[in-house]
Amino acid sequence: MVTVYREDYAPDVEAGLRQLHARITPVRQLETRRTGVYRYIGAAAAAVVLLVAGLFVFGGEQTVVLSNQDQPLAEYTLPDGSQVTLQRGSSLSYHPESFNQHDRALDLTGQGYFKVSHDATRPFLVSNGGNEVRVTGTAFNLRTDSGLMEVEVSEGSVLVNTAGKSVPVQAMEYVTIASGEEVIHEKAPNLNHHAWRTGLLKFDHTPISEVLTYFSDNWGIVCQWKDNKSCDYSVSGSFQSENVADVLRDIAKLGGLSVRSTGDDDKHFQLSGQCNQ
Amino acid sequence: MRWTRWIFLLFIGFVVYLPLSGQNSTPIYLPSGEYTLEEALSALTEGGARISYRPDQLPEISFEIDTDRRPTVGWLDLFLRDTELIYENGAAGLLIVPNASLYDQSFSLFGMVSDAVTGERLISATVQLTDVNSGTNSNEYGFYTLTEHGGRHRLRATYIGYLPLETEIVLRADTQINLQLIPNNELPQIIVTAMESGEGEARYFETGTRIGRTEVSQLGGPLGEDDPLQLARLLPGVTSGAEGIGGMLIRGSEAGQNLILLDGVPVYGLSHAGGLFSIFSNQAIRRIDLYKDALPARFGGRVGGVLDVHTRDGNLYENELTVGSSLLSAQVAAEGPIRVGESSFLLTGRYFWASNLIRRYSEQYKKNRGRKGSLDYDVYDINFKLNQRAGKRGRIYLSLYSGLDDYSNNSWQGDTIHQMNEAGTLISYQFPSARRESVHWGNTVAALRYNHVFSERTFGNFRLSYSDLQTASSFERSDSTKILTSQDYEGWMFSGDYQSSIRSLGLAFDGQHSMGNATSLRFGAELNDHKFAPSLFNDTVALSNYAGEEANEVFTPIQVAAYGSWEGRRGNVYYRLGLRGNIWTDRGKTYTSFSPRIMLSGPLTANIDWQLSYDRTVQPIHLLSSFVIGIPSDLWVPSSTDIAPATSPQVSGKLSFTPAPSWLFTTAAYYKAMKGLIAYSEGQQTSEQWRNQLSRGSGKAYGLEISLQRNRGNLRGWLSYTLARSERTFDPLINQGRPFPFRYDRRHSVNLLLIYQLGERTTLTGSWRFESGLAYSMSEILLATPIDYGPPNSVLTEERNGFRMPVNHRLDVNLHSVLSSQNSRFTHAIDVGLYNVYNRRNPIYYEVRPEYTPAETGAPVGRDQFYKIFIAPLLPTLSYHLTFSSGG
Repeated sequence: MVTVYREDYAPDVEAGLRQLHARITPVRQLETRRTGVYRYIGAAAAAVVLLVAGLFVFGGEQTVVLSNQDQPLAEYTLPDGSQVTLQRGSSLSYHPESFNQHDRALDLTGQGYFKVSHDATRPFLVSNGGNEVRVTGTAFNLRTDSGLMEVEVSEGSVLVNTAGKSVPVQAMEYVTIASGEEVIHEKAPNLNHHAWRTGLLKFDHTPISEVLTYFSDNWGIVCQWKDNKSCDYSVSGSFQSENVADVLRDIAKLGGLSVRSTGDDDKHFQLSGQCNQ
Repeated sequence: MRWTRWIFLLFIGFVVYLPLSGQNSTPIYLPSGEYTLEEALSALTEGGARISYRPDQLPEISFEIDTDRRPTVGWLDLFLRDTELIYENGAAGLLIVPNASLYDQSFSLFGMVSDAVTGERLISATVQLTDVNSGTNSNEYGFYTLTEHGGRHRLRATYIGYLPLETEIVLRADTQINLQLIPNNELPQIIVTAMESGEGEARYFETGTRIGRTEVSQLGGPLGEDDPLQLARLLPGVTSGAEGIGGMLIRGSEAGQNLILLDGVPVYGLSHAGGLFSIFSNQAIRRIDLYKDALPARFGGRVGGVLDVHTRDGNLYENELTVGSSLLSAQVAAEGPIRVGESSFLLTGRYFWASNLIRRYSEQYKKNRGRKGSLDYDVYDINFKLNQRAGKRGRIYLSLYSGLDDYSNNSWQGDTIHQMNEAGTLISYQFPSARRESVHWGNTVAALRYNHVFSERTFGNFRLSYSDLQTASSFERSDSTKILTSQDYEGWMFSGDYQSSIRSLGLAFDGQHSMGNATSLRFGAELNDHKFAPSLFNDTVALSNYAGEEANEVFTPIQVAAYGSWEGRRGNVYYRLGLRGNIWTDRGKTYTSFSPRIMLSGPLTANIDWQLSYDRTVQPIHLLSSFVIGIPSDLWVPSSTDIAPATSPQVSGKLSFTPAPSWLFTTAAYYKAMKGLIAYSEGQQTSEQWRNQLSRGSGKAYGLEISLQRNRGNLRGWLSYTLARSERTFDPLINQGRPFPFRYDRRHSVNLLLIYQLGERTTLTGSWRFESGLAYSMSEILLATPIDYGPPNSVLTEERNGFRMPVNHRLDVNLHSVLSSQNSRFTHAIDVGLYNVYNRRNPIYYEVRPEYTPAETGAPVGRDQFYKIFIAPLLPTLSYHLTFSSGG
């Protein structure tokens, strides 16, 4: 892993950022401190290096691997102009020779957000295991795990193919396919499966149990109730923060609960409190 | 520089974190309109505000918004103003949460409960916070105070006969809320009276039984004269002689042992016409509370029950004039605002115009029976009340009652018998028998009161009062034998003159302080300056001989009393612990007494409530009643050097079972002991020193009261049964020291009241009462007096109150209708009915009159004949009242 960047790129980075700021819409922004900017410049530089390294290493083997190992998010532009944002720990691979010939086939491990350039003649296919998402031009969030594929569509529509079945998913809907389980197909007006990227969670009379699934789906955060004594309350409103644990604490506070981190990975929490509020 | 450009392009693809540009400070535009709180918050969220909340914590309130652009916090300040919610900065936006500190803080909610139409303060209205199950009753001035943790609460105010008032409130500070209840005129199919327990936990402290105006007017009375005591006597444990004669007796105690308070001032007598009617004109009365047990410590000075009478204040908004008449009296009532909403007056008066009729009727009646004479009766009473708001926190009341009874009864009878003597001469005997009695009594009660809300938890009332009673009763009886031919005359005469003058000046303070959590303190002090001038003369001379005699003695005792009462709750047990101290000083003799009061109550099961109480009461004044004479000759005398106060402990228990809504089944049991009673000794009452004629004794009363009440619906009323015993034991001068039954010892009583709603404003009421007969000292043997003065024969009663009079029972029916057309300013109230429907002749007492018959030999033989005296045969009930209101 490359953890430093080359000094000579720095002036250009500064200049590029200034232009970038002007183009990024507020919805995409995640809350952060100004002092954090340099960290992300570093992240960007590291990703560039990684991409270059991937091309160099695997170029002859006809596979490009885009992998985000340690940054909160990393965004890439694919050869067809489509854009993809990968969550930390996720990777995407494709074959550069065949990509964008007849189709645009990719393999995803983990979670990513795809903004696909429209091209009706060359379908954009993302697969994981036996499941595949087929689109022509749209924007969607895709999360994969062993045997699981979860698609939440923000624009246009996609087709999810699994075990000989095709499930069309419209904008503001999501579908979860897990091996051996019923297909879940629900409305997703708040696009809360996008929260890992947008930092924005929106709830409308959402039960706490459902709220907690968004934490686990987006960030793999597992919450356990102390003594298995769970409270039941609903939450409305919107949250935006770079620190997911803070959002969890806010939501817990609404229910009069206290949150305790169990383990040191910031992924495991215990909720406790009286449910009387 | 191509490569740098390429790198730059790559950068464009990177997501770069930027600091939050502060959505919550960006002004948000909201269009005007009516929003619920949730809609408003939702609109803010849509507008980009980062706020979060629990929808279940949002109160269901709505408000108007004018189109505006404000930052998020600006909107929230507006939206959350009347809620218990606050916003705070969370990590991911603003959190809207209940203000936790509100829950930790206690605030007081206080104010006045009043009638929305007349402005009349409502006494003992229930005010509850239903969400936290706490509640209280308004006091005698309509003031209530409740202490509860802050936050949103559901407030419910109820008063029987009024529409319940329910509203949401947010307690964020000590708050004054004056509650105005709207009378439920449409279908008042509720018993305003009596045994219904109130709502919420406040009912555990309400130990009195209320007697409301509505039922009193529905019940009617003899000859159409409404009387609250007619209704009171239908309650278990309350009795009187036939037709109310004898006043009101509560749980085996004597008439003079009831504490009767008229606007807080003790009254020395509640009867007109010996008890046929009470001094409480239904037009002037707001509410009467009757206490048989569990007496609050603020009541003291008598060992029996308490009758707490509150007069109306007068309409604060509209002028009203009522004129009407029963077959007995003409009535007028005027009331209205002096300054609208601030001050009002009430004036009611009654004049018994029937006196003229009674005289003529009695003349005829006596004539038919060979007697001469007539019966005169004049009665009037007036009530006057003024009330004025005094600042924001005070109110001044001036109330005045004055009433007068004037009764006289004369009859002369002179039978003539002609008889042959042994010598064959015809001798004419004449037996003139004269009866003359007169009773005159009047009382005046005045009170000036000022009540003040000291703070949201403290209320106080100052009272300056005057109460007097002037009574004068006299009688003269003579029976003689006259031989007309020889003018030989033989006879006896017996007369008596009883006078009593009482006046009391009092200064009192009564305060209450609420501590929250159903805990409150009631405290106060009284200072009374009494003057008693009893005088008692009787002798075997003509009544005119007493002229110019001075009262035997004048007593001027000073009374100081102080009390404190602590009300609270521990778990499921509600308690009231009170102590009253009393100091009575007369002629250097001081009696100090303490009267503890304990009341415990609570729920036993979901629909059974229990109550236990212990009351010790002390009575430093005594009412001396004549047991023998049939006319009122009652004499109030104070405790003094050789007369100690009477004391009485009572223990009682009660279970109230509500098998279904609107049904109530109550069982109560009590045991009451009485010590320090005084009574006239038997025998001649000729001494001028009445104090030398006193016997001292004790008594006990116990009983069981069962009642079933239905307080809602078209047919409502109650059925009650009382099993009771009351007896007295005096020193050997009375009944040889053996126990004897109390005169009003009624073993069994059954009372039935049925009110049937015929129409919206028409009721048919039937009441039936059945009681064991009075215990009466029947004179069985006549003995020649062995001394040469006094009446020739003394009546010997073998056993004090040893004779049982026949059972007393009576059925009354009354049709009561209130007529008023829509938008009319006139209201008509009509009562038509029958009193004593089956014409039962319930005896009041027996009178002994000698009757002479010719003898075989010698002078005619006189034999005493008993006459059963009863007063009310089958009588019609008829009354009409017309009310004119300026309000329409």
